[in-house]
Amino acid sequence: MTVGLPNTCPVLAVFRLNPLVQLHWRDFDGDWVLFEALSGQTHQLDAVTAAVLMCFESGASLSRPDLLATLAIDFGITMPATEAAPIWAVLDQLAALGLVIPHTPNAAV
Amino acid sequence: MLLSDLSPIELGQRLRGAGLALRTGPFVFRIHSAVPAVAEGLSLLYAANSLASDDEFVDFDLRLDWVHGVRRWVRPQVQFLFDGESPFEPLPADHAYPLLEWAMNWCISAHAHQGLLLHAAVVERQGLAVILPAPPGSGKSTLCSGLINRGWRLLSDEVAMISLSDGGVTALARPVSLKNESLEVIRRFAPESVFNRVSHGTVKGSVTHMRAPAEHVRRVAERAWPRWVVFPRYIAGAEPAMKPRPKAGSMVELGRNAFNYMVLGQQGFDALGNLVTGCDCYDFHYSRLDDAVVAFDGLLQRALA
Repeated sequence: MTVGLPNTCPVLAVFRLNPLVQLHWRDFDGDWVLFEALSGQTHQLDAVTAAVLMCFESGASLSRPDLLATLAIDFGITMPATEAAPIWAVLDQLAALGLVIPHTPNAAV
Repeated sequence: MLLSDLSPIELGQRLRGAGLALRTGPFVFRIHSAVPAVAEGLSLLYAANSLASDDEFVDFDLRLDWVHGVRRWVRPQVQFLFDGESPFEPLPADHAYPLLEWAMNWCISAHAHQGLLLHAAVVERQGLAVILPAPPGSGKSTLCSGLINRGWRLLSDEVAMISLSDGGVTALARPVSLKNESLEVIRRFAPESVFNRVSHGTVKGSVTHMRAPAEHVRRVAERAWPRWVVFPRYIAGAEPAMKPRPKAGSMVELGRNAFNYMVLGQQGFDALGNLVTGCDCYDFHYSRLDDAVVAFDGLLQRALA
């Protein structure tokens, strides 16, 4: 097994959905309730947090700029990278919950 | 055969012998006890309940009996045994009847995973159910007692049992637990109600149980369909206020108030999600039961309009 160095550069870091999670969603007029089947945890998500997580659901590995582009295309959430601190905070929260993970594309896992 | 068909002597003989097979909604409890307060409480509160025959399946076999040894004579205690095991600490003899009711609640909430079990009261009218989830002290049981004395039917005071297949609510129609000030409130509000004697100094204070109306027990097989989720809160002096509540937060709060949401996994999530999707959710603050009855009748009238 080869493990790549952690990619800690904020701009270059790439994230993807944790392959172990199984997500089930409920939408209540833009407020979301998420059930993660493996942990049994239930989360209440606002629309932006839900959108960020949904960007990864296709299996895509996204850098932060990629994430902003996907949010703009798929959800109409547009903002310059210089003002995207709230999005990075959401990404950090999702990573802390183990729902998304940092990903090094060239590493064999 | 109803429990009221048994003479006091026959009831005592069954409780001390093979057990009393008591039906409460979908469950049959076989109860063993030599404690007189248990026989008295059952005779008073479950008179309209049917008894299961000897060859019927029994869901829960429980025993509530004296603690032996010196505790039989010095500050006597009673203990609850379930399949021979004792899940709770023994309690003073004066708490025997509340202990039985708590034990029956525990049997259901810890084992009946064929449904989603919410810690909530449920009342029904016109086939539509109001689910009243609330933490202790919120006035849930007082409100439930008030409503069932003004035209709403009791499905349950403690456990809302939601079907995993179709979302219907199963009735239990067991006695309503009242404590401390709420007892006098209901005595004044519904003087015709029947109460067991009060047990003082329990972990919940002074407690008693109010008999479910006989008609509600007779209709126990009739299920209902959740239409509202109302989080009640008693606030002294407050005017009645029924305020819509966001569904996502309501779903999460209901999950926190569930006995077996985590046990059921995705089934529980789906059942809870379906429940909240089909219900209007509210926060309800009140201080007077008459106001509460008007508010809940208003919900029904608007739904039927």
